[in-house]
Amino acid sequence: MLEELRNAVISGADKKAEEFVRQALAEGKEPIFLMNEGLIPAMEEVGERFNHKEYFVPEVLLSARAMKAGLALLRPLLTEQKFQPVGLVVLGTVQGDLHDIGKNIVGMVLEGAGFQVQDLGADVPPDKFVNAVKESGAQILGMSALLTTTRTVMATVVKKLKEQGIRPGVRIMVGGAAVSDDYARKIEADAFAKDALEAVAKARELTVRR
Amino acid sequence: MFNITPADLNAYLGSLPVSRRIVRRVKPLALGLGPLWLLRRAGRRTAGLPLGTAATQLTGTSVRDNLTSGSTQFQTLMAAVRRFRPDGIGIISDLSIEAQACGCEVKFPENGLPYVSSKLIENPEDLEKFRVPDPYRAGRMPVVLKTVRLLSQKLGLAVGSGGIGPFTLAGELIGTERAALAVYTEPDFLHAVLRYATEVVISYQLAQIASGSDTVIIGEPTGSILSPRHFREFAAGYLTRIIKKLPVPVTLHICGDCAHLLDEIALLPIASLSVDAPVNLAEAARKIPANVILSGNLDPITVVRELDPRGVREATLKLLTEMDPYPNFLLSTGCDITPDTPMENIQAILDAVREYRYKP
Ligand code: B12
Repeated sequence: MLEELRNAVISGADKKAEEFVRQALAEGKEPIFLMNEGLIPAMEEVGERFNHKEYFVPEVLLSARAMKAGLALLRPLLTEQKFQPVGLVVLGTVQGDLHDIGKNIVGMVLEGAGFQVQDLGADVPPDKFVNAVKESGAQILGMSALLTTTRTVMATVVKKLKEQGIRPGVRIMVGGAAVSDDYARKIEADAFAKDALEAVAKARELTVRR
Repeated sequence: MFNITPADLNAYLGSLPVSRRIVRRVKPLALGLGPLWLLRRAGRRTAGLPLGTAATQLTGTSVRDNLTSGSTQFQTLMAAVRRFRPDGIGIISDLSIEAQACGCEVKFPENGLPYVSSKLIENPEDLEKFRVPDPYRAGRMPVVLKTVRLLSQKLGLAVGSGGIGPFTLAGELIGTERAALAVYTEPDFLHAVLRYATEVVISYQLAQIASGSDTVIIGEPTGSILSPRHFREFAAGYLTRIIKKLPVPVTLHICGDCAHLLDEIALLPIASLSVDAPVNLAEAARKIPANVILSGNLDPITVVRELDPRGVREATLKLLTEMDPYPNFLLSTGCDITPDTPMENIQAILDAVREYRYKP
């Protein structure tokens, strides 16, 4: 059963994934178990295949869609049973930059790993990031930048968070082709991740370390 | 097409009046003879750089000024020619022109490149309402045509222009994520959008050629997110159709990492391939037919923009040395040079190439 659920997600079969989750729930399986042993390892496998160039962007998007179909059934139950999401992540691509595929993949894989994700989209102005963090009380702010010309917006956001006194309450994670470990350190972000799998690992670290 | 000996060329050049002989030394491009002979001058090396965006510094104009006025862009490119004396000159690359001409909205940062900010096509029925835009009227296409016309009339250098490829345009029209998913979920719709995009590209490129372009570059950055199988099905066929319709040598440019696509790309009827910094150029050279020019691939950011002239020079010489065994190599940057790249760094590339060219 679990094996089949995982395979459905890995092969991107959304109807099947949904069906397997429904069946498993009917058989009395715990939602948290299906999440931890089904959806999460499946999305990890998808991330691995992407890193090894066995999967490309379309395959990852297809799997993410299947994962979401399963998650849609589990989420209300998890909330009912008061299972907290691992953490809340506010995510977006910075102003001036509309590359959003990588950011979307990171968002979906984070969701697949049990995080709640508030996606602000692409071309997001600094104040919108700041307000979203303020209003949601997110533990993590994730920013994506693929253009070297616009990555400086990340530094602006960090500065604004500091000015408004909310910087200590939120961990900042950055990524995208224009960003590196060095750059993350330079703008005083808490973490950089080069791909979606690393993003999950770092996000987990950041939520634990609090 | 490329079996042209230096003797043929001399014969051709000799047939021209003296004044044009000098000026038109790279003009065989216009005859469809292909630019390869340029590279064969006793195995010497040439650089072909996208100078336009950075050259806005020379005229003190913004990128936006140049992309909205043909005469401004022409002045900028003239300034680049005077300063750098290149073997050819190309228009500023701008990935939003086609989508805007089709009706998409575009956002325009003052000193950055514009980008598409609205999707246009939601469902297959929408497509029926769409006409291929008239390149002499639609959006900023006339700006490009005017730039090309002025360059061709006044400069006498090989003029390069171009635009985006069908998959990238389809991504702008329906949303890139939807286009990526569509290879699985709605391939028929995607094919319909691609057929439309292909006609848009052909009509726009033909108008550029009619205005005086000697060679065109088709940029297909979004193609790099596809697997080889999907690239074959959703990009290669359309690119082939376009290339066959255009009576000048065509360069394909792919941003990002396209190493996994080289076997597919090698089958396209292109005259030249331009690849980005993540690709190992020597490996690419082994996969691409020897009669296709391979150009690349200094990193426009970490090398050309961020190093000092000495560092840029060293990186250039290193690439030249690595590519020494491949006569079809043309030195370039992996992708467009940014508007804020120091002129000295560009000069350093050109100097290094000239120095290497004449080394004993
Ligand atoms: C597809 C593409 C486009 C598409 C974008 C479609 C879309 N909706 O996203 C189009 C054609 C529209 C486009 C336009 C442009 N592009 Co573009 N594009 C690309 C390309 C080829 C692939 C990007 C991609 O989707 N990759 C696949 C995804 C899965 O990878 P990823 O984004 O890197 O994401 C992964 C990681 O980085 C990480 N990650 C990403 N975000 C985040 C966030 C967090 C918080 C974390 C932790 C991790 C993380 O995880 C992801 C999954 O593994 C890249 C090449 C490249 N090397 O990346 C150029 C590239 C990004 N583009 C570039 C440029 C210059 C442009 C244009 C300015 C071109 C022009 N001349 O007009 C415009 C700018 C438009 C704008 N204002 O944004 C340059 C940027 C150079 C630079 N460093 O400044 C690149 C690098 C190409 C190059 N070498 O020149 N582009």
